[in-house]
Amino acid sequence: MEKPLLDISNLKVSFKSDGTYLNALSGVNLSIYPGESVALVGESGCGKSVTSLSIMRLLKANAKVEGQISFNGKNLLSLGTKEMRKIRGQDVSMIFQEPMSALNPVIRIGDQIGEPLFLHEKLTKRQIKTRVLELLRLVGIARPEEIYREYIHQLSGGMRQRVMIAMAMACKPKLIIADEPTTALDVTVQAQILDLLRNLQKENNMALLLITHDLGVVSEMCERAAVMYAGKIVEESTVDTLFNDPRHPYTKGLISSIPKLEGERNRLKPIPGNVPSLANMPQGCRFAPRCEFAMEQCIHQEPSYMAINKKTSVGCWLERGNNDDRSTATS
Amino acid sequence: MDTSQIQTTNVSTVNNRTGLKSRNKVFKVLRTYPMILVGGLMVFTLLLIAIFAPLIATHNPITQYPTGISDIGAPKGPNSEFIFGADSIGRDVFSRVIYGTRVSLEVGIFASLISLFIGVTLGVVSGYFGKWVDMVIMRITDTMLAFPFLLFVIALVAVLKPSITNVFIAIGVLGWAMMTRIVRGEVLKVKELEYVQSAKALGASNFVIIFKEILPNVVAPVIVMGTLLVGQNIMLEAALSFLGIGIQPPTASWGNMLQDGMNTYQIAPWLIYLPGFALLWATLGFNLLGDGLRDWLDPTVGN
Amino acid sequence: MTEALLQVKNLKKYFPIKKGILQQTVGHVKAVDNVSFTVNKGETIGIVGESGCGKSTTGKTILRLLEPTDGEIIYKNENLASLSASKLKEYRKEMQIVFQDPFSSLNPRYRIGRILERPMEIHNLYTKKERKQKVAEILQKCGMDPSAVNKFPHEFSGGQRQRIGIARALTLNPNLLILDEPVSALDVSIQSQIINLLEDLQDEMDLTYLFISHDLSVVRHISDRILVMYLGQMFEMSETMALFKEPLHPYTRALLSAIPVHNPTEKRERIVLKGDLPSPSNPPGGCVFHTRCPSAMDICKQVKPDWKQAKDGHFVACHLY
Repeated sequence: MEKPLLDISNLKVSFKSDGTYLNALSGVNLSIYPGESVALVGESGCGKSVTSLSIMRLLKANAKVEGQISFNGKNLLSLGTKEMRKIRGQDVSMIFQEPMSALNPVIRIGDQIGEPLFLHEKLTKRQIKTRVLELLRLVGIARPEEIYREYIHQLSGGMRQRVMIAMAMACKPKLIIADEPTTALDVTVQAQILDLLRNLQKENNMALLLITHDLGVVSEMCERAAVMYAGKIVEESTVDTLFNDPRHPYTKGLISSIPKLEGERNRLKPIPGNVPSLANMPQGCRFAPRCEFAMEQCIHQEPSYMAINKKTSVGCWLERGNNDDRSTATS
Repeated sequence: MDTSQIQTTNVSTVNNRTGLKSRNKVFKVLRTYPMILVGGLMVFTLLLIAIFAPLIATHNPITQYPTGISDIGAPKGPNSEFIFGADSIGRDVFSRVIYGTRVSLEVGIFASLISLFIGVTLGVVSGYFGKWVDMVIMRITDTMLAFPFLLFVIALVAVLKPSITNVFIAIGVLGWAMMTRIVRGEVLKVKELEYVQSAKALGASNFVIIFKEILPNVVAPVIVMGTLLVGQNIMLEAALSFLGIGIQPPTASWGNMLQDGMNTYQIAPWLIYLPGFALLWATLGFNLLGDGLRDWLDPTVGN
Repeated sequence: MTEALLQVKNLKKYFPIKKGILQQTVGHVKAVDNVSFTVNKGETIGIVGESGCGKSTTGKTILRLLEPTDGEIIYKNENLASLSASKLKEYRKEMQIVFQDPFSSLNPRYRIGRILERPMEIHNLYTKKERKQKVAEILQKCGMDPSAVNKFPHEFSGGQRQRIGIARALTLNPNLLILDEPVSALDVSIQSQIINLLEDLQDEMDLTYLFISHDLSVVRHISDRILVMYLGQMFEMSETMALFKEPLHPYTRALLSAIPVHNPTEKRERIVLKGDLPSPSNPPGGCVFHTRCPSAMDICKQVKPDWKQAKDGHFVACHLY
């Protein structure tokens, strides 16, 4: 198998608050191969956004980052500011949830999309303009010449997100990180944006890391998915397997707590309780207090995260016994 | 549903500690916002001085002591009897500054309370009722802010005749415009929040909504603004007295002491040292306290 | 026989657009335009649509949190739209609202006990002791520990706050609850807890719901009937299962096909709508949807379609039927 484009190993992030460190991520492992689309799913506070920000090295100064993030063989965490700047926008670019706050309101859209081209490719003004117009057409904007001269507030939510995608695509990155790209949009517009993103990704053979809380979006967009809970990945698998044969009780709970769009309307089966706060992480398995299968062992000892077959890795004591393929297991 | 009850009790055991912590919390606030501590201490000393003025003062502030004037009629500098010297007619500078604290605080605080009352009332009415009421009040506020404030106060004091009461009335009655603006802004923000909407849906009257739902949430900016206003008003009173239309002699005020000292500062510079320092102390204290409170109460400003 | 609890007739809510120094009215945004429907006792009506379609405005106008521009709101043979403020207060006990944002819906300055006693205070109901008892009861019903009364809103998580918001709406024993996106701000695992709670409370307290949401799967789960809105207008109304099985209006079809399916093995054909929502201050003439409609005809550009019954209990406003 080929080498991963992005390889996160044992990533730990903690934030200093009131003199103590709170662990936002405690050992995240994730690999993304060239051209692959991977989803990072979880509820608010699970650390999915922190993961994406640490890849881009955009965390605030009060964050302590440990572990390794290697991109194309380079460890991003040990790069200098200058080298990191070269990677951002050129090799890896990011799409945020709220274009209104991610784009500058007083710079014309054309100039804003042209900025990464100016920074990374040293093109002339005219070349930049031609490229920007191309990009605007690429993301399905009907009248690029006009939009080029407009400001972000003059556009609708869907158009803004298109502009953001155009900007992310400007330098043909190898990896796009999309952090909740459609959460602020209406369903019909969301469908448009997801279509666009998927086509661009396929056509340009980019890798996509999609961060979302919406399992529906995951199943539409991605080949593989990792489920996060309380700062850890609890399960990782191909999307088909994840939905049809979820292994971790949390994944099972998430899937069964969403109302269905087809068939009988049965009473929902929620996950009881609340997500633990960073300051009050349970010992042992972090999901144990909410887990209906919790055993004595779960309360005291944290399960190791391991591969149970070629497709699936999971961190749960229940899966220790059903190791489908012992030879590949690592603990 | 059972499990969520368990969850609530878990939270409650955690929060039970808050009772124990309340004293620690005060220390923590003071440690995180040292400006509150410094400003607070400065203001607190002023309050103590004002309250215990008769105990602190060494002399009667308005008595003219023959011993304070030298043989040639010049004021005596600091000596064992008058530790900060005497003024041109033989009054003790130290005692006058001590009693002047009372005047400054009185004017500063009462004028601010008047501005605060008018400002909050108009701001709430303007922000809550909106439409033409808002339009009228805001245009009046703009007009007030456009006028040269000091001239306005001078004119009003001249009409009312200078006295401590009239000075703080004049300053207070004219100084509400900024307060109105700030309160109106806060009310506009709070009134759209869903808990205000839900109070309305429950059938609460405008009166209940304003007093029970909205006002408690504008208290913080009002306290901050009020504190800053006190410092500003102390300065204003000094300016008025300096110009001779504020507190009239023989009553001691930092402003008229500075005025008195200005005439003779070349031969008797001690006349302006202490009142000048007192003025600096007071305005700095209130401003530090106000800024500190703002940093603490309003997380959107600063860090 | 079903008994009508609330009748909304030709409800309109227009917001003036003001311009210039003198704030002259230069036009109107028709946030709710001619909306009529009947809510039967004990049922749940879902109102769906995308942002700006007027679903929340409809809910708030029914409660007169916003003054209706025109139309009638008939409740117990009384037209709420024309009642005076003092008379309206009596009816406010019987209709309550739960908001979307569990963080701004509770006043941060008060303890939960105060927040929950306030409604009874406003209406001068019960003695102090009875109020406290009532609060404890209602908290328990909403799945909260009664010890919550001594705490402030910030001490609770989003889901718990939403339970408290629901408890407040229930303190006066209302008949009708308007739920304005009550689970949209919550995480999926908490969403289902709240949905189950709402279902339990409905059975227990004999409540009628008007459930406003943009999330079609949630609406499908909880509603008996669904009203689809677009740019302030009613597009389609039907019994839930019939609507999902056979949506009639092209907009409803597009809306349903746009929802991401949770099961990756089950790929559906998607109708992707062209363009964006037109500006509500300047909606297109004829049928407001014709600019994006995949099956638009000439007549759609000129004539606004009537509201008609296409099938038994299935209403639609579209020239195709």
